[in-house]
Amino acid sequence: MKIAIVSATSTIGQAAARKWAANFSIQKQSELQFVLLGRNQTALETVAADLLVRAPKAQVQVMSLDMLDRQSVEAAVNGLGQLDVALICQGELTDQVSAQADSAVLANSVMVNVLSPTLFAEAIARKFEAQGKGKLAIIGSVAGDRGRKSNYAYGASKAYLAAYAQGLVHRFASTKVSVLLIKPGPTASRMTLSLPNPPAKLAAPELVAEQIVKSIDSGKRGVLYTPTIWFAIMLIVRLLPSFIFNKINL
Amino acid sequence: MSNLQSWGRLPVQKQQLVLAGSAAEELVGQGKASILPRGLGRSYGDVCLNPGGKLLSSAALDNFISFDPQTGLLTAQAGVSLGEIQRTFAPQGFMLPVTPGTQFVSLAGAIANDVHGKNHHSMGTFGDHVTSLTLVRSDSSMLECSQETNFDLFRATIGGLGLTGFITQATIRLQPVQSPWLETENIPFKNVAEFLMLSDESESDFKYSVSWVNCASPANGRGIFMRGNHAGPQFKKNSTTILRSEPGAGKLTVPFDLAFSLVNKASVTAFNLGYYYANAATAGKHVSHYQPYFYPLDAVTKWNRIYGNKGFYQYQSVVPRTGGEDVLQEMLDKIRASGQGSFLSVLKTMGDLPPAGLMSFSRPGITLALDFANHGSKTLRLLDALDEIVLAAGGAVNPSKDARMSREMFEASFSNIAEFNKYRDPAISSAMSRRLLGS
Ligand SMILES: Cc1cc2nc3c(=O)[nH]c(=O)nc-3n(C[C@H](O)[C@H](O)[C@H](O)COP(=O)(O)OP(=O)(O)OC[C@H]3O[C@@H](n4cnc5c(N)ncnc54)[C@H](O)[C@@H]3O)c2cc1C
Repeated sequence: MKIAIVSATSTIGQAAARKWAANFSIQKQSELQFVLLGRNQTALETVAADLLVRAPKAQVQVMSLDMLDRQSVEAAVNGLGQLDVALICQGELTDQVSAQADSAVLANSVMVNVLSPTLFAEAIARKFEAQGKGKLAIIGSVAGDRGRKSNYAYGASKAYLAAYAQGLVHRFASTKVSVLLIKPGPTASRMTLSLPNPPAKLAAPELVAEQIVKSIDSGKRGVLYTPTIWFAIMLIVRLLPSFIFNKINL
Repeated sequence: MSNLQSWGRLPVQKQQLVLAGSAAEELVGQGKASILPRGLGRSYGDVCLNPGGKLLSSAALDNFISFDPQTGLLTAQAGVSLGEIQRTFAPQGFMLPVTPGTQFVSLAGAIANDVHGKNHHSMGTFGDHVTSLTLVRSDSSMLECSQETNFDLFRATIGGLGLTGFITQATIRLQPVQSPWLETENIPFKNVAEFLMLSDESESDFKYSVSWVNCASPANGRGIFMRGNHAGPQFKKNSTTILRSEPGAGKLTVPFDLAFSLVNKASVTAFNLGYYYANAATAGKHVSHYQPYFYPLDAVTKWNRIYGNKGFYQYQSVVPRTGGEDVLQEMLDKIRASGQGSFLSVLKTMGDLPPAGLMSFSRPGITLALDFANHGSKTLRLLDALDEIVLAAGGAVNPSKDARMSREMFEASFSNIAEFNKYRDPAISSAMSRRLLGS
């Protein structure tokens, strides 16, 4: 199985890679191939070394590139050869207050959270179409389900990805290509892990990664809320009438 | 600023958490403000606390770097947890040579407190298996420390309570194992003398041994001796073995903070009775997965919450073997008389391997570890009384679990303090170092 992880240095991307590594027994590891893509070569090499300790018989390749440049992205994806799984993880949590005050922050948010994942998604879709099969997953967010004053710069970019993925799901509906948009709820960062009693509301990246890997492997299409409870929470948030919603501080 | 506590959850002032990058540059140019390396915060006392100052967390340094199956040498970043090491390597035929009673501990935290486990008599401490470490200091030096290079700093850092610099990565020798299972045996004992007899008879043939001892009345001093060895590749399960398999890790939890403590005289007495009978009833041979065997408490995450928001103290002492029987009995009597029984009282002999670190707590003798709910001055008085017994016996109290001992007790416990102070990093201090080392 050959897996490409775009932004493999992100918390969720790395947690998913580790989960795949753990799922393959020593005997089967030689069938496992990772390609780790990202901006920072040194950081990618750290992730690769870690994976090789966990799965010594697997193959791990790293590829650093300019993730905002459409030609670099296309060349990188073309260079991947036959591929079974692609997981697109890049994105950064835009600070809403800064985005309102500083257009540079806003522009950067759109490039990192919209432009880059879109370029990867479309290039990989083209590859999977040619192969006639493949599993594509994109990390969105529950923040994309409804624009809120506290984080709409970030949320809107995730809403864009949701609609894009929806279109891809439709396009590949009767093929062997599965497309999945993943909407994690607030997930613990590495920072919160050092608290002896971390806030119960934050999901552990390992748990989120486990659900992601399981859903991708099973060929799930459409949308995955993880942890699952966020499906119910966001259903309510989406259905709240505006006259109520607009009065709540969210 | 956040409400970071240690595992004992004693009330503490706010501290700022800073995440260390791979070169821990955050330590450099600290100036006068105090900073302290922080692992997973599983220390009971104030060794991992820096009220009013900064904590430099290794949480983002959670990568393995390399592993050589020929030598068993694993190099990993400081924040990798011991549980992650066990889970990754048990299927590859290796495990940690020494592990404390919880796996939610970081590699560097285990080195800084030079932790020990149920196999101290056969394998020594965690530090005995560390072959090198990388230390970043506030003068911006980054030093490779081992038996061969910077040995003085190496020895001061093992068991150095985080005070000599920030460990960014370390190399440790894992032990080859044939399976993740252990063959274990539980034997009830009636008193300290029987415990010592069992220890003597078991130490050469059993790699692991530990005992739980009752320190509430009735039947104070009685307990369960638990010994074990790694199982061979195809251990035989027969009708007399009881299989304790891997639990779903962390499936049980104490999900909320309690304003009061569930730990009181009645519950401690009931627990001690129940624990004895539950284990006495299953006395005999077992085959146990390493998870429930090494980490019985990890099955209930956040169990420290049962002590409520006043927290609790852990008290670990070691006293010399000669005369140890009477000393232990005196301590158990004192605890029973105080009416402040301990839930989990752990008794173990320590072997005579020379300590790996300049400030290592472990030394030959008998060690007793106790948990006491914090009832304010009443509890502190009991602990002071225990100190006196330990002091008179020429023993020591473990600073890495402590939050209250006197400087006098600390100085009586360690003979290398002046030497150790030479290797301290001037930018680093902790609540503990200010309390016991004066800065
Ligand atoms: C349920 C339970 C059972 C336990 N059983 C045992 C046992 O059997 N035997 C035993 O010995 N201990 C035991 N302990 C104690 C525990 O193993 C130690 O306190 C351990 O050191 C905690 O590691 P940590 O990663 O949580 O570090 P922390 O508690 O965060 O820090 C511990 C010390 O390490 C230092 N440190 C952390 N990271 C670094 C770094 N990168 N560089 C330099 N210094 C650093 C800190 O400054 C501090 O001095 C137990 C604890 C619990 C909660």
